[in-house]
Amino acid sequence: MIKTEICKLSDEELITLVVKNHPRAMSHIIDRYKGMVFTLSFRILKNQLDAEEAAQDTFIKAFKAINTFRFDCKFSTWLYRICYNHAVSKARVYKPIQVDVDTKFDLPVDTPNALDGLSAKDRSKYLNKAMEMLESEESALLTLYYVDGESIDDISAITNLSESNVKVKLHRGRKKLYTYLSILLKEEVSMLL
Amino acid sequence: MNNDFNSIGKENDGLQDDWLTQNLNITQLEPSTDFTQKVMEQIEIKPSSLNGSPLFWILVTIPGVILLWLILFTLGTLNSNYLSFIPKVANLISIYALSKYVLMITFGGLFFIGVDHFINKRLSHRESYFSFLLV
Repeated sequence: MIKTEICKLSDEELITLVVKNHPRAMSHIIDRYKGMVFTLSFRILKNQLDAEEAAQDTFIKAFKAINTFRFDCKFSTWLYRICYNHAVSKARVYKPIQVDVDTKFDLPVDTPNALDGLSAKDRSKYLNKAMEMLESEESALLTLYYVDGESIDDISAITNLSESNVKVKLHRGRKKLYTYLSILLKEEVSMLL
Repeated sequence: MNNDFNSIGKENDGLQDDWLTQNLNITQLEPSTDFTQKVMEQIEIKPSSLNGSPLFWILVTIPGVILLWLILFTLGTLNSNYLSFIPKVANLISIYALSKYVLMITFGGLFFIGVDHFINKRLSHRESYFSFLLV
């Protein structure tokens, strides 16, 4: 099948081909979701090698169990659930930097505005650092919610958390992200001065 | 933008939804360039069962017809009053007729394989013709 034709296929059509062991459909599913699966694994495991291994395992598990996918939810939700559960079970004890989110910092600048003044590369660097400082679960939830645009309902299905719990953790994650960004920017400014 | 934005509490946290969506998107990471290849190498692709495929019917029908003709021919050579009708049947199925039917079945099967290929477009250039036949 011509590459451009397979690109146009929906997840459901690709999965029908994957069930028939169609290798091109499999590789296209991997290409379509590898970024998000790897990012989600990385947010939980905080380590590139472990994250890549977990992402590979996720796809292998998913293809082995593809016959059990009943199309009763989005394929991405089903895949991310496998990824999340696998990464969480693989995660080693991680102790994030403890910062009291209610602490008032003497911030030199307004954090979002300060970040907007940076290049995309630097902004990505600071955001990634701040995301790595978050707890695995909060980081994963923010990634699912803001990067992939998953609904609260879908995140609840992926993580097996109640919807209210997801909302609370997202809110807490946002606050912490803001705090960590502020700390990182403050450090950067103090280094420059 | 996520439709659930208004459902999470986010008062006074210093961040805006659209800002987060726009900026966290650039934090999406990519695995190594050979990631897909690594995964594909670890997946064992089992060919589908022959049952039901055009090749299955070609492989089953042609030897089946030849075997039936051989059985009738062998029995027809035996001198038995009870089997006297068999030479007549075996003579009816001549070598010429047998070849004709075998060729018909073969070309019929290949025709359906071709139809299947153009309708479903299953064949990718990386697959061999034989592996395609097994799909």
